[in-house]
Amino acid sequence: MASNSPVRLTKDSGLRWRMYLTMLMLAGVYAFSILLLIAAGIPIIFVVGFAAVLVGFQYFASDRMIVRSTGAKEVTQEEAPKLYAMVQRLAQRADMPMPKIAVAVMGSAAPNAFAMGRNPSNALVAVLGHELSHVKNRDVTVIASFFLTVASFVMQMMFFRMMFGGFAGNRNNNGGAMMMLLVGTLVVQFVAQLLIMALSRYRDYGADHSGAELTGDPGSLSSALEKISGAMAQVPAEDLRKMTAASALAIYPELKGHSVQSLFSTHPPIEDRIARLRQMEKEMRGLPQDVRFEN
Amino acid sequence: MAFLFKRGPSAPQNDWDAIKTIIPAEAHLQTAGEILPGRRAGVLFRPSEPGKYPFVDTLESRLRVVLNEGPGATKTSHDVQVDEHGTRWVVLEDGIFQDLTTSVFTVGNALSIEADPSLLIAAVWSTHYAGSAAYWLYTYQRKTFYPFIPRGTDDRDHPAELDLAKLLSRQGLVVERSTEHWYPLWDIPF
Repeated sequence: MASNSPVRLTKDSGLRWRMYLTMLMLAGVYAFSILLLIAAGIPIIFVVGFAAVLVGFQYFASDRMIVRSTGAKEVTQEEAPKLYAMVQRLAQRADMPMPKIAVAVMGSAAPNAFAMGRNPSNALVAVLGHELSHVKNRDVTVIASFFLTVASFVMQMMFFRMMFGGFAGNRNNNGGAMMMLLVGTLVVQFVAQLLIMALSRYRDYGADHSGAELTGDPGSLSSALEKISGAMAQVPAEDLRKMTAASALAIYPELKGHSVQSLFSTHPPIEDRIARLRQMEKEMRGLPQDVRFEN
Repeated sequence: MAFLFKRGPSAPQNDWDAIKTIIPAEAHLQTAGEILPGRRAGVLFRPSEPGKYPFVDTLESRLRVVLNEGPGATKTSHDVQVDEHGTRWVVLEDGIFQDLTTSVFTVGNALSIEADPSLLIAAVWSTHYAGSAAYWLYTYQRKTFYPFIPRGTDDRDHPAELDLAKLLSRQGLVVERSTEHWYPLWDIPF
């Protein structure tokens, strides 16, 4: 990072359009969900009240819940001066207020920002830049998860209604209609989940882009992703000369494509993110730009 | 994550089918400014028992004939070296990449016919990529290429290797898709 002066973050217009389109589709799904609620005879006032409580709770308490669930501990400037300085510098460059910092001790052997690469400091700054960009870009998880919760709630109500009888004054509804409502709600929940995950993936691309601009070092983030993903963890350490002809010929099972799996992922494929960051690095360094990851 | 590259052309039947793909790939990448040309390459092979293969015992002089005489001789300069691991190198140098590559194949082919194909370990081409010395390794056993970009004496630039591998793959090179086989090759003598 060259200085602490604010960086003007550029927008990826293609990514933004995809995000808007996904959000529009999500809105359509939720509109359908509301129609289902009305068809099921649930009072609108009840839905609005429930939504207000839920959104309020998520807005004010979700950060503490996440910190608690990960076992993280908030740290002060005195307790973690280097980390604090890194985040402070990034926050200044992002032109945003200094966020609270919490540190969790990882129990797994998976690599984390502190254990990566030849220059752990650069990797850590890169990862912090990515996370700060999520805050800067205004996460939409609160709204998204709220609607999912509503869909889940509706589904449960449908289920109980089927089990124990209808709402008051709605005796004419038959079991088939209720079953359709239940299936409809299930579909809403499923489609909404897919769209939210797609949105989440787009947001990650955006955070990569903004984070790399904040640090001015896309290479460190791509390198950090490399290490985190374990992409190169399988690269052998033993010298080629020590390999016998037989072992060099060893056949490993081939992994098939991950298109279905990627639909349910909240993060885009690591290799795609790395390719984008490498491309960004080239653009920053003025190198040829004809390399795009094909997927 | 081990398989990062699109399936390329079907597996080559012989070394020349695989090795020749590096010629257009190198030309394209050089024109695109992705790499700087390399003038040197080498064939790495295991030593054989003295007396078992006369060709190997008299390699220096035999290669002089193979590379310099007869129609289509590339006249590529060569040097036979023994590295600190006990393996042998035929180091080749030529300003014309096509000739350099042809010579790499010729040396490997001669060793394969006159001695034992199982002696051959790898063919290596030097280049410069993203400001660093880089190598393209071709393993005779698997008939595939992969990049090797050393960083110092015992570290590698994995992201740059992945990047270069994708470039090579897109140019039709038969890139080793399984990173489990991307063995390092330290102390390359050129």
